[in-house]
Amino acid sequence: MNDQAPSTQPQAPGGDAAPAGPRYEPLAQNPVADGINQRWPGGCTGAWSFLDQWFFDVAKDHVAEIGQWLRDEMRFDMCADVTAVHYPERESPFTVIYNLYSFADNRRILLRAELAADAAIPSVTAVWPSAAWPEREVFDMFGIRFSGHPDLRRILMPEDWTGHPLRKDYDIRGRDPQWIARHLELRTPAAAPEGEASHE
Amino acid sequence: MLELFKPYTEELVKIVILLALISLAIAYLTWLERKVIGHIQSRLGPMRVGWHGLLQPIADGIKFIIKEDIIPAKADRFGFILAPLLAFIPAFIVFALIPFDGPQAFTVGGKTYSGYVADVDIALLFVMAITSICVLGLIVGGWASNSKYPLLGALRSVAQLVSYEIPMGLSVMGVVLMAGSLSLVRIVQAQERLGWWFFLPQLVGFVIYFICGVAETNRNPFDLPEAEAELVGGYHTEYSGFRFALFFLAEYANMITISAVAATLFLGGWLMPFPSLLAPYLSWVPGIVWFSLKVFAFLFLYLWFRGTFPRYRFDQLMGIMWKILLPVAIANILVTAGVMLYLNR
Amino acid sequence: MSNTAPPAAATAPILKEDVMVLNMGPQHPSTHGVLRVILKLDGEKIVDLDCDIGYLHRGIEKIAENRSYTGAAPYMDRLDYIAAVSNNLAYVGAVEKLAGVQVPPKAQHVRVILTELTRIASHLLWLGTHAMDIGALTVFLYCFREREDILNILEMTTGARLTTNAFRVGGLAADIPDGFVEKTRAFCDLIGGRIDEYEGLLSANRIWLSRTRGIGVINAGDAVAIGLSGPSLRGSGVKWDLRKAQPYEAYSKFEFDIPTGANGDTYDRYLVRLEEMRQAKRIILQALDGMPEGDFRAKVPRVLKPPAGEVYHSIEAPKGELGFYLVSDGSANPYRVRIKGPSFFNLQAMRRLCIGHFVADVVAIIGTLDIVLGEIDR
Repeated sequence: MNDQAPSTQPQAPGGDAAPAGPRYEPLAQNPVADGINQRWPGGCTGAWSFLDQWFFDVAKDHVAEIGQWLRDEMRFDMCADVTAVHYPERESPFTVIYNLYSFADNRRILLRAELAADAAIPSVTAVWPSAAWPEREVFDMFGIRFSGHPDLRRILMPEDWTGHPLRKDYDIRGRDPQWIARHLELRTPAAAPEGEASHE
Repeated sequence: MLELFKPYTEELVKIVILLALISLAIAYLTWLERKVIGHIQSRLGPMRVGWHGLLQPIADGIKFIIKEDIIPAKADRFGFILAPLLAFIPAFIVFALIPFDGPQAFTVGGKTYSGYVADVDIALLFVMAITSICVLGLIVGGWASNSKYPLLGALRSVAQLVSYEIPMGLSVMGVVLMAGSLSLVRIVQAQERLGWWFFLPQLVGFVIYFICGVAETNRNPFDLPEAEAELVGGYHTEYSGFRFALFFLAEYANMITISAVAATLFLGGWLMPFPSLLAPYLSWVPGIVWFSLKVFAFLFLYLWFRGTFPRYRFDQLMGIMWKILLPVAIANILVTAGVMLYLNR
Repeated sequence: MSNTAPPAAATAPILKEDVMVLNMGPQHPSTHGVLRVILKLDGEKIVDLDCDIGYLHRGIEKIAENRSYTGAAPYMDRLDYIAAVSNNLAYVGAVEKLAGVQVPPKAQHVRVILTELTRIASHLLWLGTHAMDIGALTVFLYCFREREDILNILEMTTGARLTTNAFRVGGLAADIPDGFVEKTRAFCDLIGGRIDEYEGLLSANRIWLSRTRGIGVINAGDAVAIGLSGPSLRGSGVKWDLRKAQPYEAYSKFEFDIPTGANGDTYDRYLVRLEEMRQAKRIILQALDGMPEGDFRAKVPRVLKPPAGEVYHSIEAPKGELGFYLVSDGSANPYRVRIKGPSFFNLQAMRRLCIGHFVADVVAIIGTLDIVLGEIDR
């Protein structure tokens, strides 16, 4: 596991730890960032350019409305992906990332929304139906709840599995012994007892 | 006891020979199918068992017999056991009526024998009735398996059955009108008298009959009840071992039946082609050889279809049968009847 | 809204007595792997369906977090194992973008050749299985015959046939072997005629037409909304191909067309993929003609530590947009690897496409979406 704290998010422009290499440069006068802030004051807390990619930090409560606006006004027709990253050390440990693409401008943007451990984030499924499954996957893998999602079930893991595998505190060999005892008829004694360490 | 069977010695001997021959033919039809399709698909087909895989059918037969026979726990046992027999037995009964050769086919010890087991006045009707029973086997099998895919296969069988039976029955009526008989032997004799085989004047009926025949035998492009890609194995999904083999054999027996009936009705049965041209040289060839060649031509067509065509959807099959073939078959009967009336005025 | 099919849960009350629930898969000849589709049938008509995925979930995203950047690359071949080279290219490309590695021109050309060969191989496998699902057995064997040639080329270049791990960060593992150019050219000479052969068997076949025309229709707007990409999207008339829209490797140097369909049905997607094979051949020939001399790999440190940051890099894989979203914390292992596989999103459209059709059409639609479960489940 990674033992050092992730330093992905730019702390402050110019204050980056790595001396060489690409940096997150702030985007000035960006139509997306300005548009969001105009409609939802404080909706976009940061706009960055990194390796020619645009990142926008948005307030999680407004994600669905911002998405609606981006789709209708800014023509980001396609939500190519919704995913998340877990930063256990942070105050808001989860970042949900929306990968949007505009056919008209041939431009891809990445929206980042931070949320607290037990918070829910509005679903964008009503804006982009394509987000339905990736949101389910984020729910499955990180345990992030999407409010307003029409069908929020686990998608890859079994329905009655406990734990969310892609969280950083979930060991790579992690498993759910109760689930295994319930569903798999393993004859080896190792599978049976509950409460045993979930390691091999 | 033996006295009872004495008057039927001729028939019994013929039945035994026929059973052996047909079984062998079916076995080697499966070999031929694998070879023909193999070559169509740019591969060799069976090559390992015997010379060019010639012993493959025997190996397959042994495999089927020694395989475990599984009856699903929740299946309807009676129906499940009955179904393969329902499909298999009628498929063989039909051969009693197929004229492989004429009334004076061969002479043994000064006595002439015919090239068929029985000549019945309503032979054609009987053949069509019996071949329909085979489909009952599929329906019962699909139902008795108590499983969803076989059930869907059985449903499709029913849909298919009601669709092709009617145009099929109507398509042969033109032949019956022209021959004036339902006896298969007399239909061939009528073609001999006419000097034309019926496939020319009855081209429409011929094509309809063969399309329906392909549907009846569940072969490509109408192999919907067993469509592997959709229904896994359709009605025989739950069958294994010898019970599956019976379905399998019944399908091939039916292919031969349909081909044999087609050859009899439309291609002059045991008659030699172009008699005025070939008779001086080939009159020594027995009629059964001509008949076999004609049957083989149809069987090859079956295999060719399988190597070439995709599969229809069952609603499309019903559409073809009801909306195209049925009206055309009826029109064919009316035209034939009109012409016959005019000619026999 | 027109493009949101109602969720499965919302339509649960339709379970009446005349609705049969049929489990298609995870063991089924036509679900192309371990896909399980739960069909609700009225007779043979599909009332509702739900896709149950995850049977092949191996946690590749999690594994990659615990491997080095280079060590994670072979796992990516196990996503879309039909087109392992494309997966590798997308992953390696993402790492290179993050680490700022410049790939030498020769390596770029070879990469293009191998990925386009893979595109042909993937489409061949798609065509073969799609045709087989609809009942045409022969096309399947023809396609595998040609795919064999591609696998032979991959084997002589990378040493493996299926999971090739073809590329390295910075270029190729080794220079192209002797005879590579000749063999690839020979294949290109062959494949054009062979595609015509498949078309001869299918394109004008009445049964094929009646089984594919008007089946699984989706218009451009809905296709974008539901997240289709690749040939499935272009079949609906959206002229979008990442090789043109956001060129990577050496694609901007080559001339090729983007075929699109008009009706967005199974037949159009079939035509689009066939034409893509021809275009792929065109690209390969251009790449062979203009093959530059020089290094096949850039200098890359043995232990790669890209700078902290995030990167999203996507390519036009045979099945659609395949993207990798990497998060680096500056260490030797990626902090997060997100795989955006086209099959996952394409399969999402399945429910929309199938409702109202027959069971027989389900297999046609699974085929036309061209899914690979290794990529859906990851």
